[in-house]
Amino acid sequence: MTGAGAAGPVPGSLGAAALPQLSGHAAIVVTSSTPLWYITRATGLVALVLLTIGMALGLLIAVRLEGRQWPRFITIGLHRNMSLLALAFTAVHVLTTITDTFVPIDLQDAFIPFISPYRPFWLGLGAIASDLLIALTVTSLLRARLGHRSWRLVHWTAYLCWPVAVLHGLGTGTDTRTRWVLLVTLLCVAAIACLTGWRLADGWPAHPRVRVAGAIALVAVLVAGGAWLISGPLQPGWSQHSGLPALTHVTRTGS
Amino acid sequence: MRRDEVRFAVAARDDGLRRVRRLTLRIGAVGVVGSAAIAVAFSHLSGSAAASGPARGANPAGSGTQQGSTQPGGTQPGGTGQGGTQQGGGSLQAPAQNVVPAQGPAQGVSGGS
Repeated sequence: MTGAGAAGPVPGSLGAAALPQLSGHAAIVVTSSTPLWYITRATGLVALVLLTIGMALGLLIAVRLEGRQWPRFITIGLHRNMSLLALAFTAVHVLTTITDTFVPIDLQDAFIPFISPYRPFWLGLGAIASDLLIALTVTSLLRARLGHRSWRLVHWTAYLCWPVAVLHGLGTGTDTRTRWVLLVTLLCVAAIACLTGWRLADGWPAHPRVRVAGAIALVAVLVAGGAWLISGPLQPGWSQHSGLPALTHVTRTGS
Repeated sequence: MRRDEVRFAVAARDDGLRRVRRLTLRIGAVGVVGSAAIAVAFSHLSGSAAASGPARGANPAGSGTQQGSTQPGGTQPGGTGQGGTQQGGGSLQAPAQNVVPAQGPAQGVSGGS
């Protein structure tokens, strides 16, 4: 799960237990030390970077980049290993998320989309991304048994896995407004956008009109994504809209 | 194919595989160290927020601090001390800003979206 930026609460807001108190409309917030929560957010960001590297290497394989000092099988090997590393960091990301009691996220929330009480939509995207990453890895490991066509069909979902992971990271909003986290995420997006543009320019898909449509779609997605980012996650109060559970709910399930 | 050509090809393959392994190990190590550093940076950010006091409306962690009950400081004991104004873990924090209504808009979210 690639996701970057873990699904996260406002640091310093809803802790392991949040007690609605004080004359009906006030609250006393109780929190606990949460090193696991910091690890969750950190491994989420690193998993996104690794997933981006893996995706970028996959695109470089597709455009058949190779040189005398850099044969193609090195790119293929690195692509495979980066994907496995991304999966490992995603596993730590998921494990620390469900182990930590800072937010009420269970094991099933990490794999079944949109059932989490905590930021259900954005956490659901993370669940989809992790499911897709697992499917991609398993089918790649079983590629010889699956056959090339089936493997390729599943491998196409990589183009869905990566943007969903990016949206998960940005949409949960825990660290979106942190400048260097935003910079890392934008660099990831820029790298994949450039390489996708390269692949389109390289002559894939074969039909020119499809390539033009793909290029237009790429630009449109980038513009729409930028507009959404500015008007959404970068705005103050985004966490309110992104599905922070009620204090009462956190109290009931969070600790 | 001559024997020396085969030997050269095998050596090139082995060299390539070694490079893949070495690069993977390095990137993995960078990932682990980077994760630890980022985690520490996040705790520092929370620590900075704690040191700056509850009057600030924006959390430097950039995490949407518009929750009414949030008090950027003092609620992350995992953060490193910066000014010594942090509260101990598990301490009760009286909200310095406006508080969340018990039946506020966030209540509707818990059912899913």
